Formats: sequence, C-alpha cells, structure tokens
Amino acid sequence: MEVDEKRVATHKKRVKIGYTMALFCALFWGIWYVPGTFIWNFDVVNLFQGAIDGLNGFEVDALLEAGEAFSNKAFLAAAVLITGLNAAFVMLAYLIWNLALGKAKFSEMKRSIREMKACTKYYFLGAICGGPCAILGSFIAMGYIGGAFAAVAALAYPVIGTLLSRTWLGQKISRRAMAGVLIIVIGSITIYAISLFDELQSGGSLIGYIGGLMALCGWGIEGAVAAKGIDVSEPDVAITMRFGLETLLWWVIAIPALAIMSFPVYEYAWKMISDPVVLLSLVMLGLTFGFCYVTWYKSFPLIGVGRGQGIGSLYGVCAVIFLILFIGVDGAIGSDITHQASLLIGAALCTVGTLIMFTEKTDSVECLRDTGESKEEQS
Amino acid sequence: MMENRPYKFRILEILDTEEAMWNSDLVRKLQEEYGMKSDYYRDCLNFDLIEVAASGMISEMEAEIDTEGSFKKDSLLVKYRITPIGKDLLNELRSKVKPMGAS
Repeated sequence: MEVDEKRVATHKKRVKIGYTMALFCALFWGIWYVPGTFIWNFDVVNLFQGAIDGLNGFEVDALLEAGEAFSNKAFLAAAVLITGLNAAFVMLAYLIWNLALGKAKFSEMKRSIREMKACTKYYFLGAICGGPCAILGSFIAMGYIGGAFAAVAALAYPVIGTLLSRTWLGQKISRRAMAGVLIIVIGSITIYAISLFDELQSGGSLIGYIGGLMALCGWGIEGAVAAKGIDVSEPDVAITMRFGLETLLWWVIAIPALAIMSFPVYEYAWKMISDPVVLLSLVMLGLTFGFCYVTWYKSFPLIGVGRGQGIGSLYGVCAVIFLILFIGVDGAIGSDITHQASLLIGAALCTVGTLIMFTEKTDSVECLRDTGESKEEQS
Repeated sequence: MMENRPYKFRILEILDTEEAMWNSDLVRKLQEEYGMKSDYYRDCLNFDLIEVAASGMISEMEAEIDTEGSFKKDSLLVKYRITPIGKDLLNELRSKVKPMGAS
C-alpha cells in the first residue's frame, strides 16, 4: 500500500472510531432509560417519597392506586438520592474499567489530578454542569412540567455544545456536519413533539422552564469544557475524575444537606442497596451510564464536540426503542397513533442526519482546528 | 519542566524542544520516561499522539510505512511537529503547572 493511501486509511480509521464511540454513547444512554425508568417503580423509592410527604406504607399504596403523585419536594429528594447512587455506581464501573486498561491509567490519573489549574478544573466544571445542573435540571423539568419537555430540553444540548466548540475551543465544523447535527436534534425533538404540546397546553411553570434550561446548557457546556481538558489529558482519566468529583458533590454536599433537612436519605440508601433487585438495577444504571459517558468523552478528541454530541443525541430515539422492547409500545409511547407517527418521523429524520454526517469526506475531519500553520508560513 | 506530568503535556514539550520527531522515537522516549514498556502501552501512547494531532496541536510533516517492523510492522510512521496553537497551549500550561515537589 502506498504511503498516501495508508495515511488516508489511518485518518478514516480514527474518524470511524470517533463515530462508533458516539454511536455507542447513544446506545448506552438509550439503554440507561430502561433501569432509569424501572427504578422509580420500586417500593423502596415510593416509600422514601411517602416518608417525606408524611405518609405510611398503606397511604402510599392508596396514593399510587388513585394514580396521584407525590409532592415535588419528595420527587426531587428521590431524584437526588437516585442520581447520587447512580454516580457512585458509575464510579464502581470506572474502577473495573481502569483496572482492565492497566495500572498506568492510575498513575496518569495521579499526575492529572495534581494539575488542578491546567486540567482538573475543567472536569470539576464538567461535573457541576453535567451533574447537579443538567441531571437535576432534567428532573426539575420532569417534575414541574413533564417527561416530554425534559427530554426535548436535554436533546437540544448539541446546539449549545456545537456553538461553544466553535467560538470558545475554535473547533472547525463543516456546514454538512452542522446540518446533520441540526436534523438529528429536530428529529429527536419530533419524537416528543405531541406529548410536549399536551404538557405545555396544560400550563408550564417557571421553575420547570429553568430546569429545562439547566439541562440544555448543562450538557452542552460540559461537552465543550471536557474537550478543553481532553486536549491535555486522556479521555478515560478525564471521565473518571469528572465522575469522582460528581460523586463527591452528591455525597459530601447534596445528600448530607437533605439529611440535615431530616429527610431519611441514609436509611433509604441502605435499604436500596441491600435489596438484591434494586441493587441489580443500580449496577445496570452504573454500567450503562458509565459507558455512555466513557464513549461520549472518547469521541470528542477524534471527531470534535459538535459531531460527538450530535450523534450522541440519538439517545432520544434509542431510549424509545429500548423502552418499547422492554415495556411494550403502550407503556413506552402510548397507544395513540399520532405518538407512533411522530416516533417514525423523528426516527427517520435522525437516520437522515446520521447518514449526512457518516458520509462526510474524512479530509474535512482530518484536523479539528485551524492550526495557524498556513498564516505562519505566509508571514 | 513537563517530565512526570500528564502524557499530552510532555508530548507538546518534547516536540517544542526537538522541532520535529517520528512517532516511533517519540513513543519510545515516552515509554522509557513513564516506565510503560509493553506493546499495549506503545499503542496507547501512539493513540494519544493521534488525538493530539487531530486536535490541531501537532501536525504531520512526513509519513512512511514501517516495512522493517522497527516500531510496529506495516504500521504508518509519522513525523510530527508542534503547531502555533500547540505552542500557545504549551505556554499556557507552563504558566499553570505547579512546581514539582510542591504539595
């Protein structure tokens, strides 16, 4: 094989690995919604919310049978506890992942942690943006407006990520890739469009909109901030540090704060991990969310933040497909034909957007930035 | 200054000092410095170089195929140099790193 052919093939391989990583991110994120949905149906989670609302076990059963909801305070406290446990189980998954990658990863982690100003601060910011801001914002939007609104707000995050990667990181993104990202975002939003319309018609709420904005900006900013850190460190090391910091935020600040407010967080955290079925769901949450994030971070240095997040947001369609597989069409999107039609239209748009990006010539992805070399040579 | 700091810090510094270097020599130097002797770590460090090149901080000058297998048989050998934005990033890192031995 000629050198030039080999060079082109090497670049193609790198871009292919980048897209594969982003696609795996969407798949893992989509699968995460299966244990992520089931966890809310466990008795222990309902009893925790009931305890905050001052209800005993019988009253909780009566409330659920009547189809009524717990207070937003109880819902958000449960969201914090579940997200804190999710982060802790993600860290367990990373411990196994890094052990599999070799002990050198731990040495590199030590070296990277030491450089707070040069790299770790970006992961700290990423942990705040992606954890308390985006995940909690998403739950606030879900609790105060509805699931479809929360999904749509989160699915639009690549728009923020792409804008920031261009303006702040100076990453190039072709018109073709930009069009692909936008079509995927529009397609993902289409899936939830009818439910979104119903939710907004029944009256929004300011706090719910703020939650949506937190999710939209949180994940968008996290991608750009993380990519800045990955410029000078390894993605596996970066994601482990980012989740280590998020776990600390939940377990050193948020959950103790709930305990101070007399919420029985520790008692129910123990009950959750000592129940084998709930524990298995937490392990599944940790594995799926953990690897969705590993692959998300690995895609950024290979294809750029815009493309990585664009393909990553295919999780919207993946989540619906996996939920249909596990709980059936009625449970996942309802029996209404208009919902099913919007899923098909949205999925078709996502496929078109993905193909537009996958078929882009790799020479436009050869280097993600303008290196400044041509200007220097001219001068 | 960047010895025993994250790999990508050191990659930028080596290429700033050496002006240009083949990936085979650069990876061997890193393997030696960080005590990562195996072929698995060779490939990991080479992938770090690919990431740094994709980010635009270093660029490819020349390439050839390793027909003799001095690095990895039939793989692409690439000569890299630091780019102006890579130099800017290195200077930014130099101003931010903590002196070695400081707690």
